[in-house]
Amino acid sequence: MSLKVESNTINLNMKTIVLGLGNPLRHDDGIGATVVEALRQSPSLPENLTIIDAGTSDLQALLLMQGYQRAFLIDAADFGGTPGEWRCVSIRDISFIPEVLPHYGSFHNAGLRDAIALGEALEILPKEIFIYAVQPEDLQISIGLSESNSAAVQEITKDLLERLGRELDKDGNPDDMDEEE
Amino acid sequence: MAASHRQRLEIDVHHITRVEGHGNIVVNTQNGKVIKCELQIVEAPRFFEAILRNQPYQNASHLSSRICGICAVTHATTSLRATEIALGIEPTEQTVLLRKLNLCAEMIDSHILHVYMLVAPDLLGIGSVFPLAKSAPEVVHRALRMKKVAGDLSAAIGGRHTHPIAMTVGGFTHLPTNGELSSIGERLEGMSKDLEETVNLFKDLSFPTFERETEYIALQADNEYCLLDGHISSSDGGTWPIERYQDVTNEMMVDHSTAKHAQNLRSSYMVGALSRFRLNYKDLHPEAKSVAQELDLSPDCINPYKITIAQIVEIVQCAEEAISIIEQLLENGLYPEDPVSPSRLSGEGVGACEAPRGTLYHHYVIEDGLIVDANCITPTAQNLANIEADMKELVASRMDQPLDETRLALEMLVRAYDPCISCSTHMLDIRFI
Repeated sequence: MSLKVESNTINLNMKTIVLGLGNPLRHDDGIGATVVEALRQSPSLPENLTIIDAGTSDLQALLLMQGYQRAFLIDAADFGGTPGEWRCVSIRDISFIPEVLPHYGSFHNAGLRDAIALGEALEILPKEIFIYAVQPEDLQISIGLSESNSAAVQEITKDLLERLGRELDKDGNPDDMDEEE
Repeated sequence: MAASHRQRLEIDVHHITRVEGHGNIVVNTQNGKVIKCELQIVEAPRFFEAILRNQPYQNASHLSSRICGICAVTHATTSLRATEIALGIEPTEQTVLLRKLNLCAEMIDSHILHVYMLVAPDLLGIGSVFPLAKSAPEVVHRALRMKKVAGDLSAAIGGRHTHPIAMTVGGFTHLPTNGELSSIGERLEGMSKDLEETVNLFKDLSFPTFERETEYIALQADNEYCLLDGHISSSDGGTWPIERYQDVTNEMMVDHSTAKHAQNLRSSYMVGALSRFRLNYKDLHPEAKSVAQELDLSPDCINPYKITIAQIVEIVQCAEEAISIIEQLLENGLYPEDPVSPSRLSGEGVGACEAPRGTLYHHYVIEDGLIVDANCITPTAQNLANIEADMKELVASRMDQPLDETRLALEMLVRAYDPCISCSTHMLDIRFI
């Protein structure tokens, strides 16, 4: 079953993990860690939501997603947008641009693209993976986000909480309309 | 093929990873002579040193752990040791044991990744791990199963997967529970079948026969397979206290790389699993020794391709060591203790640990609680000159071999050292469909 975030018909009652990816020492590559921190500060978090700042080990991120039905990843991404522009898309709706000779060197440097490809081959991926892709402004070595990316943090946090909030009834219980999915 | 190849061989392997980190192999030969043989690398940790300057000492280990997603625990631990030595802090026995346990976890995690995802596909002749995941998924599942145990152990100690948050100057802000440790101890013991299968897999694979003797350097301490503190030791003889690391690394600039090259008693030296195995063989756990024997790895091995075999021996060593540390911690009973406070706020210190790829040094000068100077020397930087020396000899010995085979032999050689350039950004490059 193919789902688009935009359709607002996210399956409910799914075991969900949010992973912030990237390196906070590389300016806007810290977007994942910053959103994770902002989410943690939120008073309205669903109790059964797992949130992890997964840093720069993409294969570890693959293992962390194991056992979850749905994952939201937050990462810097070059999609030709303007700095700070962000989109939330299913991984089914994007293609990763291949690197040159990705298998020379080290799988230690494997990016998310390789980790997801491996997860697909092994059939261990969550049923749904969405990426909040944020166009960086600057990736030089320094701490802190650029102004454009800082603005995206609150927007993404709000968007994600709204998406998840729509799945919960007033008592904070997951809606069970599609429990056996 | 190629009489022309015998006269002129040009190999350019470009490895563009993400934005900044890269490692290109460039080889040129003419008339049977190696004209150029380089591994070109941008070494990002140098840039991180600037980030550490003017930071409060309490931040250094957390920032350092972000340098690398694979060696995060080793960077954090080495950073803590540099700070503690500078500020006159002596960590407790429990803290030291927990740190050693976490280093074991990271070693297992990293080595599993390297031998299964990188080296095995080469030796099986299938190019990458993806066809392996399709043709023999149980092999890759086994690797990920073991990696998960190591990752969970690291998370229990460090408070977070990958970048530890509970490790702090003078101790820990959070401790694992006895139950968590005991459960992971059981899972480590349960790994024995997977370890056996790992040994069986590699026993049947043949490695290139290239040999070149060099100087081997690793940390050493009495009666242990040393991963933390100790002193620096060389296979050519000689030991140095850790604070004299610059007498060993003797870094120098080279034109083709932003990373400096290191040399000690010869023109280059090796750090990493094979160096540790050679220098600390007598302190290996009996199980690890037995695996070395089964895989035909002796402490006088000079074949760099067999770094991989030394890594497998170390996976067993670290699993056994981790089990033994957990037993000791449970026997003592984990007790909450406040991190040890500094006895001064200014000073200078050098920390050293064995990262999966070799000895890592952090060197800080701290004044009034702020880091005013930092130096970080990674194992990859130390290995660069040695890798190039190997490459030169390998190419010279293969002048009459087909180009493709030589290219693969070179790639496999570089891979064996597992050079770390993962400190680059992890930005995705994507296109919307």
